[in-house]
Amino acid sequence: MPVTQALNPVARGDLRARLSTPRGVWVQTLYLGACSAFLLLSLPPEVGRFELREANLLLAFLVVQLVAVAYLTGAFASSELSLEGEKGLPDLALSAFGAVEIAVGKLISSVGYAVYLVALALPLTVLAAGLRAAPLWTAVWAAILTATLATALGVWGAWLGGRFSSDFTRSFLYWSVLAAVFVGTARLPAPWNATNPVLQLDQAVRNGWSWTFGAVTAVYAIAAVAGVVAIVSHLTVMRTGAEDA
Amino acid sequence: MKIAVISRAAGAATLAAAVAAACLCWWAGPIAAAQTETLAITAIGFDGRVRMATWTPMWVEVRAPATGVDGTVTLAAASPTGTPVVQHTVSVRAAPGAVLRVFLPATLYDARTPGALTLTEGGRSIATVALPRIAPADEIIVVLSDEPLGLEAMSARGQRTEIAYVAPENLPPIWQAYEGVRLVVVRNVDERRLGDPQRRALQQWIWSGGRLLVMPSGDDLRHFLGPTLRDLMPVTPASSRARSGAAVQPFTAKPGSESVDAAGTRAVRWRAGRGRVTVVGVDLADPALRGSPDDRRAWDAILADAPSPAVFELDATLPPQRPVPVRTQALVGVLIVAYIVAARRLSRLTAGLRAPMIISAVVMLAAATVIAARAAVFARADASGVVASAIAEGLPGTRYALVAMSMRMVVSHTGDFVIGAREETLLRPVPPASVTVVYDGRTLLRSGAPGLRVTGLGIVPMDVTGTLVARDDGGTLTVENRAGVPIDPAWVYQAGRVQAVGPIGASAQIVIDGQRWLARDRLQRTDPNHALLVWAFSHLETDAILKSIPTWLIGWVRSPASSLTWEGRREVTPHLVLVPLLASP
Repeated sequence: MPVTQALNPVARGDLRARLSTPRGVWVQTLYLGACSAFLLLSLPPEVGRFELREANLLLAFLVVQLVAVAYLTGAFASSELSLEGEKGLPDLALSAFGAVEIAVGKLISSVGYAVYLVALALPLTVLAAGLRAAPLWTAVWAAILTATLATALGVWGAWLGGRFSSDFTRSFLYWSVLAAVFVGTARLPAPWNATNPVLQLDQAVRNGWSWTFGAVTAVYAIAAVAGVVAIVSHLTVMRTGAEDA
Repeated sequence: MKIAVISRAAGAATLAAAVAAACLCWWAGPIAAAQTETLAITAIGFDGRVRMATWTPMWVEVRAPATGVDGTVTLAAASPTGTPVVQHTVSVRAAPGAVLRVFLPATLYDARTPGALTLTEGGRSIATVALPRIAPADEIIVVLSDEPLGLEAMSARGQRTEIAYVAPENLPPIWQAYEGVRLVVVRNVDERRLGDPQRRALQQWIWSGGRLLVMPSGDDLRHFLGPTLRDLMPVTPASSRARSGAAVQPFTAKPGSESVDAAGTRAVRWRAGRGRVTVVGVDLADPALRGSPDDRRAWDAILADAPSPAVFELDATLPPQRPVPVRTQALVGVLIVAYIVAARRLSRLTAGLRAPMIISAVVMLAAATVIAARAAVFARADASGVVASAIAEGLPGTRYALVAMSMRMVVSHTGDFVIGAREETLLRPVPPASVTVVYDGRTLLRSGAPGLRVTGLGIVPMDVTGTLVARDDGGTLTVENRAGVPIDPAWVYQAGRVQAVGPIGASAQIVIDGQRWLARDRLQRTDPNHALLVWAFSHLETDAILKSIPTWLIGWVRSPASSLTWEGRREVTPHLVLVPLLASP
């Protein structure tokens, strides 16, 4: 009997679609392939491939993982990558589920998928960290940061999927959000540039836990909760508008 | 010279100072006395003269306590900024009450606070002695003479060239410890106070580029025929007792020597390896000559003949990376592919979101993680080690080679590591780093310093000889290789051009084709270290000694005997050997 019967039905549907459909499995395989390519580059620096000897190759691996997990979680949620069986907000708005139930479902599916992808790459992460003689705590901090950021992007991606019906607008906005998170934050003056996830990952790899790291992770978590509130508001407005019509 | 915490030959003033110190620190008295009994520095450098950052001989006297001693003497030499501290260690083992005289080669970096010497046993410190402040010198002239030579007034001396009158027993037993020495002058030597290692060290230092000046001691020429100098001398005296009262002693010059005129003083000299031995026929310590204008001019002429030690700047030739073995890369690749395939199964297990499936997936993931962790440790251990460049330069006229090594620690999977070199090679961190150099028959270097760079220098037997019978622009090359390992690949080098001659086994007779010479700049990239090969060409063209020899055999030798050990694992570092080829008519 499924232990997740008590799980939010929206989240259950999303996770099934992402984990079991052929397209979902291929996406995972591609994700592992990308991580593996950088893992091979993370062999001790003596390999010297692509002149990356002097760079922190563990960081390169973790950045690839961060970007991949964040992108995939948001892309599925926003329907930029569509999967058979995954319902977007426009479909769910017409269902019998409550607005809060839908929003929380999207939050859970984002958290679940981000954690799943991070866990799936765990052997590769351990291999990369071991090759670079980095403490395993580094991988733990990286996993927390990656999962939190990916959740926030997943929730806001779901909101984008409901808010904008045009595929082009949705994709454009989603990539704009990604650019703002990964590039825009790095351009901010100090100390605001600390919100850049790559910068935080770099700090975590070099120095481990810090209060700044904790604060930035909390900001991502708050952003995810704010996304839930935005989804609830949007669904409420949609349903009110539909009833009025 | 004997330097100790409290000198045994202390005068009244020293005694008074000692008593005052004892009154001030009455409780420390027994400890200080015990240390004086246990550990004393007999000699630092050459009569206290030290060239900083070079190998320096140190003699230490250890008096074993009532329980005997089985421990180590360690000199902690700090750099001028205080860190890093290079530790030089030698083992000591003595029966109760026995007195040992221990030699410790060390490199000192700070003249004001050179370091501290500690005797330890089982991790417990028994005695510690601080090294006194030392007077640094740029060059040292070592003199074995019971009379002053009047060298101090010579204008040719550098500003910080120091004259050191040394007792024979304080000469170092390893040639590397002469590193700061410009000239050794022997006027007389008590052979009973010298050991074979010290004789061999002096000889090898000359081979490596040192300068030796020998002169009669009045009418005494016995040292010319003693075991220390006999084989090094370019002349044979008529007898051990010279002509009494003669101003200039008659010698018979050996073949290969040349007569020179040192500002009016007749001298005979010859090359020994890279170095030079000069014999003058007059006693320059003769009170009648000492300080005279002729004497000064003679010294000026002798000192103007600067030594020409080999300079090995091999850092630029170090390989940038250490290749991970193919098997390790293959293992990692196979593991990754296997995991990606397994991960597809993992997806199906979790898709059902059922408890047994999820548990299976978690177990599978955990197993994969453990395997990955083990593989990471294995791969890292396999990739740990150093990159090294090593060159063995044949010393002309000897069956030995001067070996220079430069290495850089690339990665250490365990943090701390031990590098070992063969007995004749002395290793040193350059620049100074937090390492322990163990001088115990062979050099071990213990460190955890990341990116550590080490240089090594030694003279090792190299029984490879060759002759070239010139004909037209080529000739016939005959090589006798009794080193026991092939030279592969090999080239003949002559005046800026090279010709590959293929592998050379125990012996070879190869026709050198005059049409096959290739400009050395046009030689295609070679293995295992092309940068070192190019460096060697440049070395042969610019070195003052080597460029006088027109033809060389150059090749790679992989000898386990001259390899490094890394964490107990033997690392066969290919040596580039340079063998001078004798021209045969």
